[in-house]
Amino acid sequence: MENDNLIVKILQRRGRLKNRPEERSFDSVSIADMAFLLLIFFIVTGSFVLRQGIFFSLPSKTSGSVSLDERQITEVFPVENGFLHNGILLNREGFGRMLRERGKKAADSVLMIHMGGKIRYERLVDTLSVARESGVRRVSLKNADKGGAL
Amino acid sequence: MRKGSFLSKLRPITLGSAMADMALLLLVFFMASTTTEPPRGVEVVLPKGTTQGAEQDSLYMTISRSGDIYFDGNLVELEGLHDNLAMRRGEKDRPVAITADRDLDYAYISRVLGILQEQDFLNVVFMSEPRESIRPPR
Repeated sequence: MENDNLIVKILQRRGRLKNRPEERSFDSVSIADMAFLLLIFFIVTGSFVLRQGIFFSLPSKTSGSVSLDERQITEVFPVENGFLHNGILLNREGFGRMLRERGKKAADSVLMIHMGGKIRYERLVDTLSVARESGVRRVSLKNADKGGAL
Repeated sequence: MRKGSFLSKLRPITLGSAMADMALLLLVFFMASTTTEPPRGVEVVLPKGTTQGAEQDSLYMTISRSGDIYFDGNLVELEGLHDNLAMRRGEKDRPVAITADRDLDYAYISRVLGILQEQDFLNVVFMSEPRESIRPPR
């Protein structure tokens, strides 16, 4: 009698064990290893330094000519020690001030930059920077030596 | 430890899944926030300018102080640049990031811009270092 009870108990226990939901798991250690490996790769090869620049759109070869009012055009010849405008040498602040004043007078003004072939590239970037700071949206770039565009 | 005590019932566990979660989280962060150095070919001193924003997904062109042109890290002649751009006509909407030395003569830039225009690569980025903001005098 006692043996029968024991068997019943064992069977019940087994049944209870069977009814338990299955434990499902996966080995995530390998994923962690891979993730850490990739993490180290990205830390070593990446850089947080943002490369920045001045965006410039070139005119298309097929683009036509645009007629502009003379008051809208501001011509400048960047030189090593400043900006030559109408034969007057301006410094950075003066050039920026002049652009802002002209921008107030004539909306949608165009800055025409005449770059000499021997002028340093830094001067072009500086001129474009002043134009941007002064709110000039339209810029035309000309090679002063060639006479034509760019 | 006494048999049947509370401590003996505790099972040692590994925190593998939590570690994987953390690693993946950091991985995604680094992948999203870092950029890889573009192929330059030569070191140049960038001019300072009022930058407009970060360039992304560009074709890289470096022009050294002596006028040597590196396209995607490879030294090319002007004719070679012409051919290289012609072969990549399908990517003409991508901006071309020009990383040129600040002391370079504009004549070199002019030639390169002419070729870019000829090959219909019209979006150009003049790479520069951000200029420190100058406070107006009081």
